[in-house]
Amino acid sequence: MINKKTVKHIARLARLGVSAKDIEKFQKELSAILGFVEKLQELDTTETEPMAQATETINVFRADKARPASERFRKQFLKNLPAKEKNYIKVPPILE
Amino acid sequence: MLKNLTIKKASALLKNKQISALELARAYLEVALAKNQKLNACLEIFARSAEKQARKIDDLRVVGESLPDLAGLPIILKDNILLYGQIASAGSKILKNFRAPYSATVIKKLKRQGVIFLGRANMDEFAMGSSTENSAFGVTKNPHDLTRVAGGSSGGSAAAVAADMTVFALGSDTGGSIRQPAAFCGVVGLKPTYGTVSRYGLMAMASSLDQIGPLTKTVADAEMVFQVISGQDRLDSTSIAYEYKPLRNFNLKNIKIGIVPEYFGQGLDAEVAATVKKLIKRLGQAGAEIVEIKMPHFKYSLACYYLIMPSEISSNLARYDGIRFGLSRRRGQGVWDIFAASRQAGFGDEAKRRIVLGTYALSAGYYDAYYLQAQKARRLIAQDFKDAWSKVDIVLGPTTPSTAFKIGENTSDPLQMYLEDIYTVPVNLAGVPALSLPVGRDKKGLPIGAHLVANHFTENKLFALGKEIEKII
Repeated sequence: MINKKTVKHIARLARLGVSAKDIEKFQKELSAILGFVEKLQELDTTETEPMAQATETINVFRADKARPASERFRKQFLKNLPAKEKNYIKVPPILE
Repeated sequence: MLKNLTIKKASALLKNKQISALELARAYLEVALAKNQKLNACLEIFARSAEKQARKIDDLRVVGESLPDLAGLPIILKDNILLYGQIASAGSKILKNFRAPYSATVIKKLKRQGVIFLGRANMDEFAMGSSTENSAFGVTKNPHDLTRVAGGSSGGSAAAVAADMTVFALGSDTGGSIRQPAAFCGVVGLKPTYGTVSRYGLMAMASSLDQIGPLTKTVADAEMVFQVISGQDRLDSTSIAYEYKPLRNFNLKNIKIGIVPEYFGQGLDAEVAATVKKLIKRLGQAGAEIVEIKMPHFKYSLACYYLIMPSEISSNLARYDGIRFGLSRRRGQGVWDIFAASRQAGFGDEAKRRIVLGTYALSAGYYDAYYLQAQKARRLIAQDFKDAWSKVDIVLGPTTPSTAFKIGENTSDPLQMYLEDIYTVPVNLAGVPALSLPVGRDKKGLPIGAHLVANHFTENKLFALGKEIEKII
């Protein structure tokens, strides 16, 4: 069972604003889902390696080299910015 | 005219100049615009640009250019696949006005073929759902019964193909999102082997599970599209060097079909069970060997999926922060307020639910018990399939536990909705390919889908058996 304080804490970790109503709803729903997934605990996995993805390719490298963006990419990317000044992304000050 | 039109037939009509690409595009546009009023399968129909594209193809053909098979054929795209300059909202309010700054690799491949982009299809928000009821832009209705869902999350794509709004469509499948709506709408849907189709330009939901795939009218059409969109891509490091080769000299008498009792267990609708069992019997009579096999970890798949998938979602959806694109709420003081307020205003309930669940499963103190244990269970489930391939070529069962359900029937209980994916989810966990194709209807006239699963990189077996099934039903 997951309590309201935990939901609030997790939402903060996820940078997700939640209302009092959300917290109540998520507390119930998440408790139900966590109850459902509980059955994995009955599996004996002491000898089992975790599997991250199906093809299990590892370390696919590429050269650490910047590729200049095309002009049409730049144009559309800048149009999508919620706030900008000239060609820069505008954000509030992060450091005092 | 569009009713029985397939990629194969339409391509031949165009090549023999019995119809022009513009005439074909206009015929589909007319149907799409009219039917979309009721179905809400498309979020947008690109009428003008589609006609322009079609004219170009006709011009090339007039001067005698030899064109690829898919040239001049209309497609509808799931709204989480990027097409340069067009809106790609993923069915979410947070990306309502987002325009793609580049095109997905699959789009580039289709463009080289000369495919006509007809519109973008409705979907559950960020591909999370089994009914498109989680779309921020309204539910898609099932063309066979407007009071029922089209399935999801690629519900718009499936409904559009079923309603002759396009010849074919693309969807994405993380736990059944191509196959389940294909089954509900009576069309063919393929979830390819993980790594065969580039995910570059597909909005990430759960990266270790997501694959792009086609929705078509026939198995042969799905095969043609898969051949075009598959192949390694340096922009997707999980893609694999692979070239599709069709199976030659396929004979039912040389094939072993595996039946898993769990696929016919509790919760399966009686009419769906009877239809699929009848199909198995016919395949047996036609010479296929039917073998009962065990998948002891099948029953853990859904629990495993509902930890791994939300964990990956909580990480992938971190990029929607109100800073670089998408909805942005800037009333607060600092950058953290922008994150929290933008995400609260932009995401729907299911996205929020999964972000919170995934963040919880990955957080300190719970990681080992939830996420790590799920990753271990995933290996056991994948091993069940490996064991199966030493005995059979294909595992066959129903795609879904029931036919299309009523709009609103499952919305109050998230767990009930999750059970929709019970037969399709193990496939994504193991990364193997699977095909859903229509094999009958229930008494209400709703389509029933059969689900074929094969080993990694043996899509050719799925297509070969699928075509045989189309012949005998």
